[in-house]
Amino acid sequence: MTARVSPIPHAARPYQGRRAGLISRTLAAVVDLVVIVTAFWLGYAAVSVALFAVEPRDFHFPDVTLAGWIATEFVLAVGYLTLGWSTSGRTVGALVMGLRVLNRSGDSMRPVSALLRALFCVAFPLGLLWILVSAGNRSLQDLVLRTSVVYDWHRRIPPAAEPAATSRGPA
Amino acid sequence: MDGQVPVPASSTPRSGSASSAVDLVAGTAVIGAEVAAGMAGAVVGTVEAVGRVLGRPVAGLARTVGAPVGTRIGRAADRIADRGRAERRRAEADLVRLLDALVPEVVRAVVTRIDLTALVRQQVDVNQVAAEIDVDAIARRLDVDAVIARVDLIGITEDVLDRIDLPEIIRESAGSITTEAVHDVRMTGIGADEAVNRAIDRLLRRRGQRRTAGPAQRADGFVQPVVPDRGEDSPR
Repeated sequence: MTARVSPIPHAARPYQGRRAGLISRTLAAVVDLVVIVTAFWLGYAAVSVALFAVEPRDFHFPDVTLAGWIATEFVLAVGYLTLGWSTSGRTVGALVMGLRVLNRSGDSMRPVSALLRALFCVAFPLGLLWILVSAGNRSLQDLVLRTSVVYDWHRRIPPAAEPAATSRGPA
Repeated sequence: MDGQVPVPASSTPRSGSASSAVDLVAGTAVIGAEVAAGMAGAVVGTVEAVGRVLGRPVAGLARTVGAPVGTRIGRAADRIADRGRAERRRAEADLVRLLDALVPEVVRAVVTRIDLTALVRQQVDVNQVAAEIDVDAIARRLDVDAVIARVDLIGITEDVLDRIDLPEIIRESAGSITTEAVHDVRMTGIGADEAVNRAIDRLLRRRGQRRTAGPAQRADGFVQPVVPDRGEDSPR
């Protein structure tokens, strides 16, 4: 018998494992954006402090061009999303909103797939709007990379079923 | 049962007549004994009176002759009474043996010829009988400790603990304000998602439920999807 007691509130249980809608995912993306921007400026502050420590007399704040800022943010975002999706399947924004990104097998994404998805998402964030058109709450990135963003309030991915129960015949 | 109770023909009349005869004999014997004793006393008194008249020698002769006669009559009466008593006891023993043999047969015959359950239902107020049963007293007499001793409480407890993720529950339900706030934000997000989905579905005149079940492996964790996916959706 595999019945287990869930620590999730009753109201949220019916949604666990279902693909999330536009609002939750947008809010998660906003949180992630805040994290990335904050990370950039924290890095900027750290670099400034380092420069001040090295050359206190000639210190001036590093110049930040718009292109440089955007490029840095792009790299930061891709790295941040890749790391989150390929490890726990969630970023800080997804953690706040109780979401998790899974591959078609229900596991966390592999690093390469996560990198591709991160590039796709950062380059074309409007792909999220495809959720409105999709009857299955899938973004354009989900359709292309066969991923799902589901409501998942558990801290960890629940253990997989018994090997004998999950074994499948040749596809 | 309509018929009369079958009674062995050989035992009852004999026993009845014997009983009457016993009583008659016993009564006769007792009365005879009493008369004989009275007569003996009268004879002794008369002889003594004659003796007193006739003088001491004659009185002595009368005492010598009359006393043995009275004693002999009294003994005869005792023997007759004993005989009557013995006969009466024998008759009572016959009666007891007869009842021992007869009553079980009669009861068996009655019970086999009537619906005892229906009779009880008809004649006995079972509810009243049940209401008068002191269940608490019965419960007090139960040895609950013995019952508990037969239950594997440790095993049950371990089984329950195996099936619940207690540390996870404690972590998740540690009622911090942060956790509650996060839950509220998440539930608000879910509600907003649902509202947007409904609005879009109405706008697109989409019929039927959205196929939002996630990957299959996710469904065997803690929750089962309400409506499983029927297939991959595609851009349209």
